[in-house]
Amino acid sequence: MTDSIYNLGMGFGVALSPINLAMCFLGALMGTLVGVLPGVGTVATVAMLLPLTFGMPPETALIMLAGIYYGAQYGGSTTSILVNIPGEASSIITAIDGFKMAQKGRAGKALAVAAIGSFVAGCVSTLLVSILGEPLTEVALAFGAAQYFSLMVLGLVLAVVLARGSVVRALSMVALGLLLAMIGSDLESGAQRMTFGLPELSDGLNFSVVAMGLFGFAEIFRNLEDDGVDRSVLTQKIKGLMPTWQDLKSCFMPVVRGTALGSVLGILPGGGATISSFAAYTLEKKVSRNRTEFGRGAIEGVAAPESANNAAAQTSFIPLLTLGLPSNAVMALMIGAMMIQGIVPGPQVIEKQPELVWGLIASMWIGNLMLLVINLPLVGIWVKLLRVPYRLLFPSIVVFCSIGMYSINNSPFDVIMAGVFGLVGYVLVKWDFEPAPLILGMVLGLMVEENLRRALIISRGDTSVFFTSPLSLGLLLLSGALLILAVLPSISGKRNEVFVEED
Amino acid sequence: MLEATVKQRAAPGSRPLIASPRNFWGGIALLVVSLTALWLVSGLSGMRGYTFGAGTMPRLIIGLLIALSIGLIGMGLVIKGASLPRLALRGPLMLFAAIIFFAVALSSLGIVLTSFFTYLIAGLASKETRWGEAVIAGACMTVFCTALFYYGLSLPFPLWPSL
Repeated sequence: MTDSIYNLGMGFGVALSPINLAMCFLGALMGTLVGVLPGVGTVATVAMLLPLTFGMPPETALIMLAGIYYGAQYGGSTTSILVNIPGEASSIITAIDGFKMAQKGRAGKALAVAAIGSFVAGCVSTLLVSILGEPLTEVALAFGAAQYFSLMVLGLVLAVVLARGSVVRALSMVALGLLLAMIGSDLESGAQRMTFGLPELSDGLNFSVVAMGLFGFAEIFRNLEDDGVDRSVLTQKIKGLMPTWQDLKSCFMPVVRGTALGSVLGILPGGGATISSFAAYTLEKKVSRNRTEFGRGAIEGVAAPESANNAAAQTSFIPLLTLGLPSNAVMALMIGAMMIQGIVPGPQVIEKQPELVWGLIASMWIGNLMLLVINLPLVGIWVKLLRVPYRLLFPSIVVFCSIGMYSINNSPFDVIMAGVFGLVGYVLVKWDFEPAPLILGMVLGLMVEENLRRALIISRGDTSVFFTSPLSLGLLLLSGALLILAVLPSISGKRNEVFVEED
Repeated sequence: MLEATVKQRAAPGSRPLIASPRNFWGGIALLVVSLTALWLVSGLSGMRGYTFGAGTMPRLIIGLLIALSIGLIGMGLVIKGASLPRLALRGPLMLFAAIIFFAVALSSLGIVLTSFFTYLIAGLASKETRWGEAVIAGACMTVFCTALFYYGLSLPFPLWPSL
């Protein structure tokens, strides 16, 4: 305990340096700014703004990225509440009751509760990350190649189980992601794999380029088709930002439950943040005294998923920092950013670069506080931004993203690849193939190969090594069980339940 | 190929052979990708004793992908599912064109002209674009991007066309 207080103190020392503080603020501001844009989700926002951080020192870059991440989440909630365009799965839930509240003239309260709930959740889970970080790292150090491999299998399976729609489709996306990761030089022999002889591909497909295409560009392609946006709420004046005492009282328990649920789900590798808002909403609907109001503008229906979402966003840094495993697409982008900075994510980071890890943890809290400050007073600006017609916004986004992609390596090739993956992503989304498992597969691909390779070398080719270690066996059994559960139609019917409720 | 599949959907028939076109054609597409990949990695070395060769992991993954795509094709034939969605052509293709233009033009035309024209080409993607305001907004965006990326972050690309 004293250790984590000491470490947290060191973290605040790093995070509160003027440059880091400024970049955290700038990140949160930019993140909100882009995240507010209709239809641009968290992943897309982070992917778009990622290049901004490339010239910075590692701490500053990661702190800014964390700011962008939280900003994007808040921005997404704002858009969901005001115009009912959720940028991604996790804010679909917020849109259900949030937009109804806005239509009833309670938009201000919905926004305030979303911000306050997220802040409370953020405080609790930041503390949790700092307490759990260190002991979990020690656990992580006990992981050998075989255990790592099994853990990654579990992570990928979780991503499949939590994805929307068919399990087979999600699995095939994971496999496609793994295959894309194989492009480039083989780590061991240096042999060129599937590079078509292009020197640009010998380092592999640039991860942020693929993410930008699949999430950023594809999003714009798809949004061009949506018209008939209900902007009626925007013409009203947003007033009554301060929730009443009664509002706060009815939100207290939902926030507590949402935070608890979100914190736990966020730690699981494989997609915590998305599922946590669904889970929190479903739980609240079961236990709330006010359950008949759900779907008609219940303030609890905004408070619970928003806190859960944010708590999970925070605790999803735990598997990233301790094991080097991303638990969702945004964390995958963070890993990409770390690798660009020359940091190999994993348990050794917290030992070798404690300032980096603890600075990041401290800046999560600061980022949350900043968002409370940015989001509430600036709500008027976001509303104005939402009034800008999409026909003027999307070409700007295209130009902005193209410059961003170009600036990663000063390479036109990257921009072209992002465009190609934009088309691929558009077709995938239209055909109901979710791109998130693909990204996770792509990030983990080389790590899976390396650990599988190493495990088999250590065991001298004996594949039973994955089943003789209790830890590895447990992880594999868990993965198998989850997969079987997900394939059972009755369960997958349940999985879709929460999605159906939106209409 | 996309156009062909869309037409396929329109073909009338009392009992369609393909119950779920999204699964079926998705499976076909993945099968094509995996077979192409299999051919691409054909020259890479395989297992040597218990050591992985460069081609081992790709082949394992391709095997998995082939199994999954056959599964998808099978499901597509048997389990009823949603029909193929209508794919818009103009929007995505014009935006793609804008992105390609940007990539090709930047190093010779410079950031100012490239940003401006990329904006306008992207504008072609939507029927709603009004050209008067698009030119003004494009100019504003150009000024903003030049200020941020060229002067602010001093990224190394030319400002104007090099003569």
